[in-house]
Amino acid sequence: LDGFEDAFAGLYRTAYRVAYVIVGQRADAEDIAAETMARACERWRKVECYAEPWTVRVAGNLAVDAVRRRARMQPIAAAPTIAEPLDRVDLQRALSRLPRRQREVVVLRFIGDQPETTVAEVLGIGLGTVKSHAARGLTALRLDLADG
Amino acid sequence: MTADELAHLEDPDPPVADAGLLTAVRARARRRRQRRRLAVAGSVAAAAVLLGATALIVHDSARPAPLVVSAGDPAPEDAPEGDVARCFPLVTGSRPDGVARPATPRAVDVPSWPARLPALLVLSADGDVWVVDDGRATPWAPRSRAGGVRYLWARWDGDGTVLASRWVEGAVVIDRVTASGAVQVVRFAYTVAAAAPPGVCPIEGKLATFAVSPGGVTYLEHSSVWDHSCPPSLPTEPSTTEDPWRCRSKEATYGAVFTDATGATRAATQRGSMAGAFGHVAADASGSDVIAMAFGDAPPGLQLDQPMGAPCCVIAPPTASAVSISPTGARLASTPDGHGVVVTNTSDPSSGLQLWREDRSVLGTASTQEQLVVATDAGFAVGLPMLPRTVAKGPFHTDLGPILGLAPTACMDLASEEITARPTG
Repeated sequence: LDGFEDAFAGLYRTAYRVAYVIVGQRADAEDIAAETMARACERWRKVECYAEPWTVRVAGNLAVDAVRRRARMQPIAAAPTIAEPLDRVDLQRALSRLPRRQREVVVLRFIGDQPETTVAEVLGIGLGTVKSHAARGLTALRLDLADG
Repeated sequence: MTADELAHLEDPDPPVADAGLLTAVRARARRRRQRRRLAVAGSVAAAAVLLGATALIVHDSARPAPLVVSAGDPAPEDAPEGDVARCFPLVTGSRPDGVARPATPRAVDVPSWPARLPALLVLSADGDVWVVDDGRATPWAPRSRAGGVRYLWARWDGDGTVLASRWVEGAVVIDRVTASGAVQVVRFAYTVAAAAPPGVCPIEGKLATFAVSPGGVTYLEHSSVWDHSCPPSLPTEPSTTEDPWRCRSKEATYGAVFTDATGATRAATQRGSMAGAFGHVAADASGSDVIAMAFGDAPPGLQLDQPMGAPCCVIAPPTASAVSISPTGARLASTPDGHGVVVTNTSDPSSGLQLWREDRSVLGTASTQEQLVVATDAGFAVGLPMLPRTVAKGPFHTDLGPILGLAPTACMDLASEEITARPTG
């Protein structure tokens, strides 16, 4: 695990940030960040060369999964008691509705703030595909957010 | 939208990753590994199914010359979920949930590999495409980056490349695979029928298995709900109101679509319909358009057909696995009981005879005009007419060692490909 200890603090910060932006709850975000780091620890040799975007991707997927689980128990749209800014609730709903690949590109590109070339590398797709997924995903997100 | 625009959603006071948290994360990683080991130990029974997912095909023309394709690897994919997973049993049955695939495969030597044997294509239970040639097993289109690709089905194409299918969200994708990489050939989108009843494959579209013949590629189509003929009911039988499925099937594999290598349709037929059953291509004949379709539970029922040709063939044997067809479609090899290797003339279902028995479970067979290759979980057995079979140690279960079995006692007339002698012992 050479390098994992050195990279841990920065990657945990990234995972927590991505998770918190999506789930909006500290306990859930901490759990997602810890799970992401445990997975990174398990397969460090494979992920170390693209550890940050990998962390963004896994944390983003886990966060959206958590939102979906929560929505099944209590639909987001019917949760006015949650003291949550409206835009986060909308973001959760809109992200949950995106196709997986579009969502991963959006999370990596716009929440994880990763460059397009890095997104292409970590997802194993072409740069053009990243651009098209980002554009379509962003358009879908905006339409969804506009619909409220 | 930019990261700055989302800044107000961030936690203004995020936790600090200290040494204690690092220790907790490492403990969590250890627990994950332990759970995986337990899952492996508890899945011995599932392993037979897992290993049975291995498909094995021999390319019986010239040895393939690897074609260099300058393109990136296909994207890693997730596995289908829910009832959609029923439509792609080869991938979903390959590994229990939570069990990681092995590390990226590397080329290995296969001791005792017979000389002059055509290159052998093997699709492993992990969905990796391997080619065994000249005593060396080489992974084609090796997995890379995060996740990797899990192929469901693979066939040699006539130019020495491999066509392999994989699942992506909402579609089946066919890649052309070579030693140096893979490129997407065609993407067949499917829809999930809203009216699909639970417990059956719900997709409307092409399945992942296909057959390759000199004229093109044949795919099977699937429907989630299939209306069929409805004879008048007897007084004692329920009406269609009482039983909505009396005149319709919950699913059907209803026909074949014949395409060229790019996926463009050349012909379509509803021959080979299997109302009420999920079916898939079990084997094809490289020199003809005879295909074997399997349907139902293990051991699956078999049906031979020439979907685009004249009515063909017999249903023989009625149930079997590890099926392969000789190049002309005249001979079928299979194992009805998982151990006995049986060859049957497709024109005569009573002609089946057992060539030999494997102690280990037979995973797959492959036929050329002259050779029959059998894969078990201990390696490969290669049968040559009139000669004892050769046993070659395979690359996937090297800890089990080679099998030494009975010599084949049947003779084959190579000119007609039909069995001409009974076993003598």
